[in-house]
Amino acid sequence: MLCQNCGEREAKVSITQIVNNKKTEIHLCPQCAQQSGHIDPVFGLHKMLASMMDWNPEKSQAKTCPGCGLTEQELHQNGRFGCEQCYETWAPLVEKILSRVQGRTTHTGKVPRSAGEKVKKERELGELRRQLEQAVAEERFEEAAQLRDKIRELEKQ
Amino acid sequence: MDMGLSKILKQSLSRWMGGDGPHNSVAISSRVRLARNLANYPFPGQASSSQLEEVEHKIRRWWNQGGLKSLGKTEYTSIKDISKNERRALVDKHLASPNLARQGHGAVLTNSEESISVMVNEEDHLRIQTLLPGLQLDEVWQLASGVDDLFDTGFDYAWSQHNGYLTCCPTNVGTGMRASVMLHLPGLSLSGQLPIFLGTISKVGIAVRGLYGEGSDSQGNVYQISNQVTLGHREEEIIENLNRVTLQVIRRELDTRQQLLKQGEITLTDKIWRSYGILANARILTSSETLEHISRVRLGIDLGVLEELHPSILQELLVFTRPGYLQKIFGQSLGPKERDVKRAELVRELIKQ
Repeated sequence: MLCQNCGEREAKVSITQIVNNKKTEIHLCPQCAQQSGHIDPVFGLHKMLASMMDWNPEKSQAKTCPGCGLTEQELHQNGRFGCEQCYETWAPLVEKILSRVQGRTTHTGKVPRSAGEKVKKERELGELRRQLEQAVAEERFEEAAQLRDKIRELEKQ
Repeated sequence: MDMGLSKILKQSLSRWMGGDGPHNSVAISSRVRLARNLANYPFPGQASSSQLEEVEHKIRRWWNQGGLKSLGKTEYTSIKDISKNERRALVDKHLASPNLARQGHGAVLTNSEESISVMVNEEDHLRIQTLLPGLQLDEVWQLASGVDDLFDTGFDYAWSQHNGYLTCCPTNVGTGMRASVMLHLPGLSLSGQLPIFLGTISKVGIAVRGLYGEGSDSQGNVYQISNQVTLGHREEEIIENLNRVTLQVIRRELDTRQQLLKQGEITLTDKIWRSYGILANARILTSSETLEHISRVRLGIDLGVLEELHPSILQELLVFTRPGYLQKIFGQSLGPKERDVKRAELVRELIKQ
């Protein structure tokens, strides 16, 4: 079998890895195996990131992410997030990791359309709710009913 | 060269590679990669096989319905539909990562120039990548951002107002952007200045790595420099910073080449002609030896020592002499020795053209 990294030399080293119960096997030549820290980020970078997080297994809570089932232990071991919800599940830890890895933690760049629309929709809803409250307080019930319908419609979208 | 072979070679080269970019005597190519994930699906590493399949289907359906129509003709390749050697060739052309090439539910989208490629279900759901010759960082960023806008109209992204684009690895969060330039630095390398120089660069938020081989010992003297940080800066700021550093490296490299020429013209010219001699005549060539001599020949072209060769020979040979390509071209599983023989054959043909 040829080395799966260089595809050139005979593979003599097999590396087996089990992550999330998924088994991966990689066959490498001795030269590539020696540099394996650079072949698959799992071996190098993520170990390093994980060690940067100062994880203490005894102090950790037995928490899993409701979005993807990633455990805190897996996050520490692999240094990778499993889904968008992980960012909320471990918010304080995420803040710590990002400030170490990136220096800063607040995004200042591009905003996607969907987020732009959500932000817009939230602002619109907020404004309608405020108008509804005012209408109710001033006993303008016909207008309040219209506003309530508008809010419901917008919430459905 | 027989017609069949030359046709395969033509098809094998990404069309963008044929073009001459700005500062192309040092800057080989510029690249931007954007990491994006779809909302409501776990990232590929944590997704089940059926979730991965669903993401792939969704993207394929959207593409089928003309999601990328405005980019001209694009092609969708499912990893599971192509052979091992074809996968390797995608990796050698930097259109797919080794990780993706092993992924059953992975796919690659490319335009006909292959200046745009999108990996599906790599570490993140989408890896949008754009490549152009020479130093064209702003252009590759604009191109990538345009492709990103197209996907953005078709899908909701995993995004938060605080952290920006959410990615699997914390090193990509925020802009999700990695911008890089591939540089050919034979002057700095020959003069022994490279290790110090690369050390300095890494202190200003720029990562350096050898393209082939590791560390400062890059085979073929080809290095990639890229931004280290993806969060807390606007994309344009990151691009501008990288561009500024790259221009400094280019100036330094060109100065050093002239100094080398002044210090010992005959010594340098001799090295170049020797390398040319080996590439044009050798019967067995290993890939590291090939890279070393290609680098010198390319230096010779840039210095006007070798006048008849086209500068694109560096890009061509860098791709063609990789193991995956040789196997694709010669259509069989070659042993290491046979491959070195075939490589030498191919290099001789290309050099003579």
